[in-house]
Amino acid sequence: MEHLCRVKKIRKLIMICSCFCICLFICGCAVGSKSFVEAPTVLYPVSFSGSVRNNDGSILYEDEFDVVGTFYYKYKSVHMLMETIPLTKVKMDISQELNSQIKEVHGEAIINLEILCYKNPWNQSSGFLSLGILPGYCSVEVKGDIVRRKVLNEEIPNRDRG
Amino acid sequence: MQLLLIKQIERKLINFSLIITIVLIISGCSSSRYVCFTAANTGIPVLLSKIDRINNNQDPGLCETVKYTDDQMIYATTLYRKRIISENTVITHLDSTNIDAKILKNTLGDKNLNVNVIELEVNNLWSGVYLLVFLAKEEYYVKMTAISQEASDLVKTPILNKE
Repeated sequence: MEHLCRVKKIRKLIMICSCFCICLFICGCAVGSKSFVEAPTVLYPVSFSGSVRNNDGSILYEDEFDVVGTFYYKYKSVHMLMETIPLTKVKMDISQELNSQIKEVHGEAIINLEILCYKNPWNQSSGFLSLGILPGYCSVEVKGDIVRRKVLNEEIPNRDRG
Repeated sequence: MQLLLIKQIERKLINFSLIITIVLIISGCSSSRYVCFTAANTGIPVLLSKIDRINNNQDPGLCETVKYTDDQMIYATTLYRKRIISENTVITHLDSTNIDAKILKNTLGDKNLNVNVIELEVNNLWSGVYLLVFLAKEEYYVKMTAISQEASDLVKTPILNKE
């Protein structure tokens, strides 16, 4: 009798496990987040490479600039249910941040822009333990050199003296 | 005898799932990996902004993205992908070599061209199946969709407009 009861319990356990697995298959058990970085209204040229164009259209390279500051911006994007429900902005407009940080140091452009996406342990733990129901996040870092033309920098002290 | 066997199987199952949970959590917390997207050595501007040149008067010389076809597009991705527990399948680019190569292949390093970033997607995803842990996968990437265009066609400097 006890043996039968035990077998029934195991069957029940197997049933629950199967349902759990099916749920996971359906859900895909995916946790994470995505984000689109954009800067449509920035007033200065922002380049991923080490070069931007001068006002006459010629290309200026890294060695023709002085680095006057570093641009740094970090944010987190959060999504729920396999990135289907966004809890933060999907399109991240960093124009305002770019404008203010460049203006602050009297820069003229940003070169060597870098976008960094970090691994985070939350997505993994949450995905495994919560069937992907809990939200996941994505940590994004934007870095770059705020620069000013060397010629212009040489002119400024002369103007100050005058 | 049968009961003992069942108990043993139960214990083994519990131990197994506990081990898997611990391994997953530890592997999730242990490293601080990242992917970095940049295009440091292309020699031509790769622009996130619509403005492609430094302007003395701080008047924006706005770029206008003209119509483009799919074969004109440049797709470049910085990707980290790993399967948990099973053998790693890591495709990682922590430098800009891959992106530079794709841009240069498309533009041939033509100094008259600008590369305009149309879309920049940052994604971090973990997906897996409970019992088939070896199928669990983590990936994070930065994906760029861009187009190369002639700088002269793109730029309408305020000075020219005024003229």
